[in-house]
Amino acid sequence: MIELQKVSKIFDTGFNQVHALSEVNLKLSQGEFVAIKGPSGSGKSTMMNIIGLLDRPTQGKYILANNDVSTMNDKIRSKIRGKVFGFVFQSYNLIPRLSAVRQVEMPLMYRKDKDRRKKSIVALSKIGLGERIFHSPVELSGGEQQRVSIARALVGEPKIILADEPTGALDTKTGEEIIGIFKNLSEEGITVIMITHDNSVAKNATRIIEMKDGMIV
Amino acid sequence: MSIFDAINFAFRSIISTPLRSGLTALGVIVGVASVIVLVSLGQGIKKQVEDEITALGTNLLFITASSEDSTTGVQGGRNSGLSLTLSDVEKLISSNISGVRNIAPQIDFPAQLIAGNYNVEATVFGTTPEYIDIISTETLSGEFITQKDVDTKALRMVLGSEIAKTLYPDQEPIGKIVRLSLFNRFDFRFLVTGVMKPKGGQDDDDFSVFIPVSTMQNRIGFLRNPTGDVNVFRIIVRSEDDVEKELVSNKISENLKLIHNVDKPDFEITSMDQLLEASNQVTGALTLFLGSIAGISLLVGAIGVGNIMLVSVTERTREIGTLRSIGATKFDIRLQFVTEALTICLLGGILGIIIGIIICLNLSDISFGDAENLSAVVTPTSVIVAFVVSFFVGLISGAYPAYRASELDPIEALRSE
Ligand SMILES: Nc1ncnc2c1ncn2[C@@H]1O[C@H](COP(=O)(O)OP(=O)(O)OP(=O)(O)O)[C@@H](O)[C@H]1O
Ligand SMILES: [Mg+2]
Repeated sequence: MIELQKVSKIFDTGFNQVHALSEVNLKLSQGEFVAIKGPSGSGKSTMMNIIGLLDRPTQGKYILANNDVSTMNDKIRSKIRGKVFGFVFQSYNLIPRLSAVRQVEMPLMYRKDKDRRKKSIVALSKIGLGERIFHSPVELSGGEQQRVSIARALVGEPKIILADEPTGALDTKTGEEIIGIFKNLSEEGITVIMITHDNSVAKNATRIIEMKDGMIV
Repeated sequence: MSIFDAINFAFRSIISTPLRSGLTALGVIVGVASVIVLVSLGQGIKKQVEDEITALGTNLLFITASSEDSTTGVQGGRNSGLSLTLSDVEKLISSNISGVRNIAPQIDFPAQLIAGNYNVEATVFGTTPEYIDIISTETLSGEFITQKDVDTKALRMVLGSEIAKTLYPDQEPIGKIVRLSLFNRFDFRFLVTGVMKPKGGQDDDDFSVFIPVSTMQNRIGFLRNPTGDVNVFRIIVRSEDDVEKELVSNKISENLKLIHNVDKPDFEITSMDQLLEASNQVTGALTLFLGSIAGISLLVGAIGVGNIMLVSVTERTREIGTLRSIGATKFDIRLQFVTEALTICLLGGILGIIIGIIICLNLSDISFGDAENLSAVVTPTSVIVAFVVSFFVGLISGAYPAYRASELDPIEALRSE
């Protein structure tokens, strides 16, 4: 379902060029639970952003569900991004002034979904936050905030979850709970791609990808 | 994202920083309120002037000696154009110009009136019986100047309503004697023969008295010009209601040129319409001027909104990245920020309109010394204009920040702190 063909990414900072990805080839199929490992600066986030349509490759092709998405315009890419992907960030990236339920409604708002309140509550319940739907981020613990952000990623029924160090800011036990959620999702058929530095986290995955210097090793 | 969602989201952003949003809106509130107040003041002044002019009657034509030509002709000679005379009036009347209803001369001086313990400053008009019809009013009691009064140069006087009240607060003025002191040089005793109906408002006629023009000529020597005729300050003509004023004006002009024996008119005829038009030009310019001053404060308000929106974009950079990651298009981001600026401006605009109207309503209670009370007329147009302007202020001040927000690279936005 995901296919990167000789994808390179070069960041031109003005005074030097950073080769964040060098001719990366990658094929992922539906329902895989992939852990991406590698030292800092090895291009993990860069690859994930390209997969999630937040960024475009400098060279190479990106085929998503048999479509070349690397050349599509920004509007279509935004719509696909909202429909196909769910992002989970290390620092949750919640909107501070919105309650959990509104937080989770946001992706559906951009899709003009009329059922969004119901779907948002369902997503929050599924993730174990049914009781705290009207709490704002400051009233929630780190683990709870990460659950809200997972609910927000899930509410639009995505095909692929992209998680960039989702447990990086959590203690071991809370981290394990979050990983448990991802495991369940992948068993339901959702592709999960997760960046992690933690080997004990990575071993939960069905496939581990190691990166170094912008290449998969 | 629908417009309702954008408004909902904007409200949440606005109330999450109430002080900042309030201060930002304050700029718009002050701007819009001052537009309303100053434009309404302009309209109030316009209406006052208009009312005063139309109160005189719209069928009036004023003939005055033309200043331009006053030096032509034989100095001091007859028909020299130096002035209008009483004989001009008589000749015009006997010309029987069609469309003309009445013609009367007018001479006026300020004078001191004394009756018993009371005295008052008044304008003394010397005129003829036709005058009462020209200013379209009636007497409250007694009678106006009669032809007999004019013929006999009688020392008889008709009082304006306010003068009557001041001089005779608790007596019937008719039949009483009033002392009239002119320039501290002339002192006459007049018999009060009539009191005018009040015209109301601040009408000059209420603060005037009327005496026969002949009495004035006879008693006040310098009004007589070298030919022995009597100079009048102006001649007032009332035309019939259903005639073209332009036509009447032209006929009078032709006749008066014949009377004066000149080719080019040595007088000017001004119609009420011309006066109205001229005053409308002045008050219109005044309104525009006042509105522009208020517009500057609105502009400052708009800059404030734009500035705060730019700050917001910077502060919410990471949030914008997040919104892009959950499927927001560039258009969605633009819509969100423009809506936020619009919401601030429209709320500020509505509050400003309300405050402006409240100020206008209370303005007429404030008097400034001896001057007439200010009156502000809130027109629906000024309210609608203020609302539309605050809409565009929001649109314009939100446009650039919204564009900046939408053009952020999602990756850069997500990486920012
Ligand atoms: N927007 C950018 N502009 C310039 N350089 C960038 C940009 N994004 C990433 N880089 C560079 O590209 C390289 C790869 O970065 P990336 O974020 O993909 O690493 P990573 O593997 O996710 O590292 P970490 O584990 O620290 O998150 C790094 O050298 C980084 O400095
Ligand atoms: Mg990274």
